Amino acid sequence: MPDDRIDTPTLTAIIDACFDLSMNGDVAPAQQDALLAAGKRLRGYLVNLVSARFQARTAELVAANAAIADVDRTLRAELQKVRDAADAVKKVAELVAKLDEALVAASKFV
Amino acid sequence: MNAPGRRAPRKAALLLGALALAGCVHVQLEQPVADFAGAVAEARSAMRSSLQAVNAYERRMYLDEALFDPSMDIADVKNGKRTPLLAPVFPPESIRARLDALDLVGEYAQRLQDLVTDDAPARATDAGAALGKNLAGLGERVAALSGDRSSQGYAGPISTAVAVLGEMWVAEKRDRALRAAIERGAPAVGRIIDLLEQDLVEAVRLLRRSGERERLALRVSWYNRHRAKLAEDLAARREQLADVEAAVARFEDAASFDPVRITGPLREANDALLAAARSPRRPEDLKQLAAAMKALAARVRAGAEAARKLQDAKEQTNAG
Repeated sequence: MPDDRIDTPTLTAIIDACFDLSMNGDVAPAQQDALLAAGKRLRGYLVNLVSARFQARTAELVAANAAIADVDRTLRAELQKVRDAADAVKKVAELVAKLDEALVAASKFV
Repeated sequence: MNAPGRRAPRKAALLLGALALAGCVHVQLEQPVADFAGAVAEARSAMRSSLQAVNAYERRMYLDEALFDPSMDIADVKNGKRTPLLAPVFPPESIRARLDALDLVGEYAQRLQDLVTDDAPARATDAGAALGKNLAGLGERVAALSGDRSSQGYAGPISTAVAVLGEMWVAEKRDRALRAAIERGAPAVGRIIDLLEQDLVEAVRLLRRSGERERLALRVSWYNRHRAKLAEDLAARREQLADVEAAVARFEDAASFDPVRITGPLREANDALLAAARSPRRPEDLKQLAAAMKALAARVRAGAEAARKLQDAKEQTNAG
């Protein structure tokens, strides 16, 4: 499990400071080199930490994906029901027309 | 005193007015849902390209270090561990889960839009008009057969009222489905946005920011250490300084990239949609929602544009 106690923005700020100082002309060249090396090493550590956290979050993301996929399936079914409802009104209209026709036919015998 | 046959059409007209007002609610929800779907599509494309680029970026960082450090040998495995040369720093299956999440949120937004823009209520209006006409015809037929002519003249109002009722019935079904879907979908979408935001902040923002600073520092250090050797070669110095200048531009783009500018308004849009689904849907609520959603969609677009700029900078570097 990745170490949650490490604050990645703070670690990044430290790395930034190392690189900034390595480019600072008032810092002795030897110290500039040491700061550049320290920045590179710390960034390597940051990459590993971020990668581990990224992997750790995957399971939670897969669970959230399953939940939203379920909603998507329901939505498709609901859309079909709404379309069916429109068709139902049409079918009732057809039924009434048939009743009317049947009534016309029946009236000929009255 | 009015005859019943004259009062009825007036009542029918009043009923129609009330029904038409109720029907407006559905029309007003279309734009906010469309804006939400548009914002999701923008965010999705920007986040997708940022996530897809994370492994390629770390490989470039590895090779960039080797470029400025002649003592560094490049290898697939070093000290028993695989390097970014061939092994992805972020497992492809983990990236796949993120891309799936983006696709699913996009699908969800699209389904909501399908539901509000489907022509079922309009088809119900047409079918309802036919039903009303047929009912009126049937009524007249029955009246003619029974000898009662008082129902003549109802054909028009009945036809219209049944048409509106048909539309309302279907629209009400749609409305309930929409509310239920948003109620169930919004928490999952919210969780996905939270997780993607953490990923984008750490795996893209922090690593790009520190990465571009490192690439700039490497170039500055190299130039300062080697400038004596370049003293007589103006073209080489110009080339090196142009490389430093390009590194500064990339660094500035990386420093200005903030994924929260994409995820923040997206989260607010998702919350606003949920609040609208739970609201009594008064016209003023919907007006506020429509205005808020439009503004949020514009903010997502601006954030996505910044993300695209970051990708473009990378591509230009590749081309160079």
